[in-house]
Amino acid sequence: MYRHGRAGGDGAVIIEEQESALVIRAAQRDHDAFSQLYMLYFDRIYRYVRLKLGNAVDAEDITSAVFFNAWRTIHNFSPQRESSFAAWLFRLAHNAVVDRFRSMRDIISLDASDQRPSIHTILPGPEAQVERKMTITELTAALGLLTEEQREVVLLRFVEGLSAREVGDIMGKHEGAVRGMQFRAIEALRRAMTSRHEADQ
Amino acid sequence: MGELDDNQQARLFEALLSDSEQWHTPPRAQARRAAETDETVAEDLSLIVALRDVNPARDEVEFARARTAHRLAAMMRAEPGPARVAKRPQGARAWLRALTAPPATTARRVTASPASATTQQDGAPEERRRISETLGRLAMVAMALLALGFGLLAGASVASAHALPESPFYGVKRAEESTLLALSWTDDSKGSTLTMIANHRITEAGAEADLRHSAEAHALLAEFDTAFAQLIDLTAHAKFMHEDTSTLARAVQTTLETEQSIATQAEVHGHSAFAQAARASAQAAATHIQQAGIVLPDTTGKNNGHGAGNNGANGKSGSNGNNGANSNGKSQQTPGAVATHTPRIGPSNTPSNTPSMPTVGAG
Repeated sequence: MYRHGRAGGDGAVIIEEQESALVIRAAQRDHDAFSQLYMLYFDRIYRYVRLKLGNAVDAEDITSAVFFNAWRTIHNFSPQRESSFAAWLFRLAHNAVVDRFRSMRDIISLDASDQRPSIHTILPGPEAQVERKMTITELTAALGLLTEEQREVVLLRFVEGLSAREVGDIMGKHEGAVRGMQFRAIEALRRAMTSRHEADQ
Repeated sequence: MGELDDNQQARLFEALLSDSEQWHTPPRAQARRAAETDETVAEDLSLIVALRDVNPARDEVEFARARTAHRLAAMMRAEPGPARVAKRPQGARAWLRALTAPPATTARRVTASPASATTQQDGAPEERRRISETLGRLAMVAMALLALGFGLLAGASVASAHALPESPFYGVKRAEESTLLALSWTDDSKGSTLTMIANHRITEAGAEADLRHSAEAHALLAEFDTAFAQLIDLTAHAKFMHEDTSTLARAVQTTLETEQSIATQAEVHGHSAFAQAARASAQAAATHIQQAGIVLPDTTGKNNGHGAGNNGANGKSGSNGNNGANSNGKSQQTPGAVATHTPRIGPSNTPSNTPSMPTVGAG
């Protein structure tokens, strides 16, 4: 599947055994091994946090905190307890974002009924075509119209490509529940995009 | 095209999604399949494809990665480490290195600063091989990530590799260098990164000279001088600490040769001022190398019976290297200088598997 659970894209897929070896070495305070894990996962974690928070400054702060926390606690990672290292890392990111929202004085409501998008528009690079830019704009705005759970499922399951089991570990839900949620989440997203498109016309 | 009820749609969606995950089928193809059965499910799967393009701008990610890498590296260096490390050698730097070294080995993490406290002697070839393999893997992973990335990111990464200052991708290139440098924890990895940076600067300088951008060319040459000086100092420090300097020495040699080559090219192309400046820079670097007591590998080929065979897989290259170095005074920049002797494990312990192996003098 499209980079299912793996970092770096199709051409840079790191087999699980290699990643496991990196994790083991990083748990033994091997800086180089952890640096490799950082290079493998930074883009994905940053994107996830960026999409949740909506601005680059906060995203950098949170991402730094996530990886430092990962460095400090990686010796607690157990492949027997966790579905994957990616799930463990994303859970750290998920918790960090939740903590940031709680600490924010001017908390933006994450409830879809508020009708305020909680994710700002992320503009693509200059090489993007006009149609694509519009699509990205619609997508990011529409994400803000979902419930927190729906948004989380969409981001983790479809944007980040994690498995249903991994998403369940991160969200504290059973895999079956995630599979049930994913269809409703994508349906909600599609309806949100359709309604926005109709409203714009 | 049929219409399914909600439950049927959910089952079809799940089936196609699972099928896609299991057989690595792109969601786009699954969307086409779904369109034969249910348009709604097809649209949902198409939406998943569109979600893949939701990315921050390329340069935003690169700069964020670089800044975060620096910040993370600073936090990691400042962190006292796990409580299970019991012994603390004298000196703050040595203490931090001991805490951050793998507990099962005696591997060192030596900083580039000559002011560093003494470190543990690492006589384990296995550890050096592992460190070099780490360097190789880090370089490969970094290059793979830089070359491939996700969606829009991939094209920009490839484009930035040869970017000149005028290019919109040049900032990305610099950010990538900064990231790698921040994440270089061992002398070899730092040396490899400095070599890459120096190579970038001298290549850019030559390109700018060809474009007749004299000021830019000289400015980049000055940056090259800085990076090369750092590499030489790093090698000198490693030599001072009795570490294996073969990889670093080879990097110094390669960088010097690259600069000389760029200078020659500039001369041929009629950029005499830049060529003169590059030659002067190369001469200054050679003097620096000599004063630092660095033994450069012999690339003349004459004594490379020991060089090439020096690092056979059996790893018993040390004596040959020693003999070669002892009798190969002409290949050494610093007669009488002694470099660290290290028995070589094999070509796999170097990130860039050059065919001509260095001549390593007796330690």
